[in-house]
Amino acid sequence: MARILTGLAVILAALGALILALPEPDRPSVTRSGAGLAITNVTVFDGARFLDDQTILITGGRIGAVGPGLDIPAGAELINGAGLTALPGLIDAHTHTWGDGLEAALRFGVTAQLDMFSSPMMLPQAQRNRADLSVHDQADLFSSGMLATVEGGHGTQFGVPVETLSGPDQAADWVAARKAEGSDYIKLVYIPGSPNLPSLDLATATAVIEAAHAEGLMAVAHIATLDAAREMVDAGIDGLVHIFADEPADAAFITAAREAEVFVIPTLAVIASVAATGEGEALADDPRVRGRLSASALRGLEGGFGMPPSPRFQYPLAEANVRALHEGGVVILAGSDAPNPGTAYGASLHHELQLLTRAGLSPVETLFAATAGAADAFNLTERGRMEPGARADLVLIEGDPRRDIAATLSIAHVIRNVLVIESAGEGQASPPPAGAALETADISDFAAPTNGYAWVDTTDAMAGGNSEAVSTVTDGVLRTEIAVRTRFPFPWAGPGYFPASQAGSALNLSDAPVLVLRLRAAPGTYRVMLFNPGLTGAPPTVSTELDESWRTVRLDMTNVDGFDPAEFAGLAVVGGPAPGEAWIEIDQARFEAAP
Amino acid sequence: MARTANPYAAEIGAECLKLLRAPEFIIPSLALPVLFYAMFGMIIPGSNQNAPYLLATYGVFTVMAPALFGFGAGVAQERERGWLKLKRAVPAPAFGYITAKAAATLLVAAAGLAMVYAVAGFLAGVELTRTQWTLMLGVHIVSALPFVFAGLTLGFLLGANGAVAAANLLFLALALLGGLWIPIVVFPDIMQQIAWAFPSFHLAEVALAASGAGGDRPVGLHLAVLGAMTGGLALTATLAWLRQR
Repeated sequence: MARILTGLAVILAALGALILALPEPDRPSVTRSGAGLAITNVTVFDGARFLDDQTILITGGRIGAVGPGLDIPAGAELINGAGLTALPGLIDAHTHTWGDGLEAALRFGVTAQLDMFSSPMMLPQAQRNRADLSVHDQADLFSSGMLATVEGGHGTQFGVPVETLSGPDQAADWVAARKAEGSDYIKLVYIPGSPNLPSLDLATATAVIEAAHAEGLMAVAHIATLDAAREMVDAGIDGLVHIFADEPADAAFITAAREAEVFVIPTLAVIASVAATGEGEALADDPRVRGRLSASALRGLEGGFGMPPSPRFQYPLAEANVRALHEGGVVILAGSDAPNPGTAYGASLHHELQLLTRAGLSPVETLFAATAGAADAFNLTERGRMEPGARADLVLIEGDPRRDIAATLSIAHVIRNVLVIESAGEGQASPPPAGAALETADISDFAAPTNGYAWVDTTDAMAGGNSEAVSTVTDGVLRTEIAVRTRFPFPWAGPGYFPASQAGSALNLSDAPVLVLRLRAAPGTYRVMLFNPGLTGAPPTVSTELDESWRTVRLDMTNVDGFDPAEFAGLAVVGGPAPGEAWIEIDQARFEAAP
Repeated sequence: MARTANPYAAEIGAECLKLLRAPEFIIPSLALPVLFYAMFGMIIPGSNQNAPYLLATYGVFTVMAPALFGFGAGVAQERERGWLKLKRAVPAPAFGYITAKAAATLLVAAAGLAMVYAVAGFLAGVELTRTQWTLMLGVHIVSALPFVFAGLTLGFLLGANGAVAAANLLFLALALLGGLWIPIVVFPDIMQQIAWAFPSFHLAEVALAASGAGGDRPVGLHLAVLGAMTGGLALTATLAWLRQR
């Protein structure tokens, strides 16, 4: 018996030791409010105005008092706020929650995100976390849950389950189902006349808005054109979650929007990315941003949509429309639409602040848009203002954002439910692990794997599309017949070079980053898509014109924005997004050292 | 105390000795889960994002093998060889046989869990709070119970060959359809509903909740279903035992 007991004790001790040795999440330096936390000599933005030389007292997870020269309770932790500006925790009014989005946003001082479509599965947890003053490691989430769209419409292409609507008579049940799931507001997609996506019709969209109001919920709309925006305002929408960039806003629309008290979340950051202004990459170069991004978030920020210029996305018009609406008295809120290509959680909200300022909002108006303005528009209590009783969600920044709005990125401390997250050495960006060494630079064997990779057909079918690609190898030439069809909004089809097995790993092409292809095709525009591991949005893409004569294309992958050749995980040569039938023939393919 | 405890101690000791002398049972039982976990949780590109999630489900998988095979196949073999008949003639408590088998199973399960946890924590970068690690370990160890009863039922009802085949089939069904290998959420709706019929699914959900995984889980409901299933399996095992006597 004694031996058995000893044995049992040894086993328990071994398991206990293992449990003690297993890694825990990094604990940021903690200031738990026994006696509270006091921030002294700090400039405060209270949601509406700046107040110099203030003291902020925080106890019990809430702001206790804000004022000049307050008595500091004995035993309170102190932060010397000299030279710092305290902002209420920032509110990003347009995101889509995925992966570590809430944690990533908090590193940038975003303490609440207003999600405009993601899986309803997250809603119960989000509600519990919102009520929990001990949540320190992530931003709070408010969400529309599922969005209202039609079968095959915008929102159905991401693999998140969506119940679609086909007529106004379904609106009441649909909205009731969302309310039961815990949606905080209703989001609908209204993009009539979109070149590649079907949309709700006006009657159904209107019915959804009315059903939302009947349930006591707000309704907001994704629109892309002035006409659609006008129709939504007339239909009683509460807010627009993008600015239109197809036409200048006219006086009639501005008046109608102001009188209907419609707010607009322009999401200039994502429109800039669609219009490929290169701003996401510039933001990614800012060390204050870079140091807070994970490797995949950094790639996302450096990435783009890879879309040809569209008359529906003229960036200068987007800024001009924001200016016109703002001057016309329409409430503007700050939202990033992260994590779309060219954006990143948290980082892109700061980018949006810069863009709103450039569009004509003053720094105070811009900061209002990202704090009290959002809280007012969405009826978020206890948030967005620096006042007694509010949540102890703050961001302390170095410098004065009144002079330069970009100072918001100089984050000294993020305070979340009275836990201070030191900014120094935040260093979330671990260097991405490089891939395996390249074995065979010549990858022209189209019939057998090289480097553990093989040539395969790739299409948007993996994203729910209906394009097709069929390859044959004849006399060492890979010929792919492709048919690009538009069920998926950014369709593609063509041959690709991808890991031959699920266990295939990335390749390190740092020493041979030039992709050389000898190829020809049915005349038209084709794209080379490049893949890194852990891709979340559209892959980095380079367009090229091809015709029936053989030519050799050289692509230095080090110059492709948002792509890291040290972690090559695949390439594809594809037709699309324009629909139609075509063919591609590839005769030679290899990787070469940079010249 | 010592008088009644000793036979148990001796049985447990003997059972453990048997484990060590038959490494062909213990090694696959230990190696399979940790290899599978490493493959699905680490090696497949992009899979390390799933490492925390899969730790909860592979932990259940880890205790399932020794419980199902140790009891199912093991008991059937020993019964066929007449060992159980002999045991009944021996002046030792009948329950000692089961106790010893349970102890040995838990030992193998604990060793397997230790390996999977070590791979998760030290190689796959899974970070959980101390409370979450401890809670999840508790859930995983207790997970052995329903499988032990299922294995016992097979062992008492079927012959050695039949028990091995049935245990294998059950093992695969529990692992795959219960969502232990591949997250249940990627399955079609109908499969997600079918999963409710398998204790492995409920155990995985409880382990996921213990590990603080995202998503909303009706833990109370899962525990209630598990209680009912485990009780039912215990009853079945008892009936099967009585029948073979």
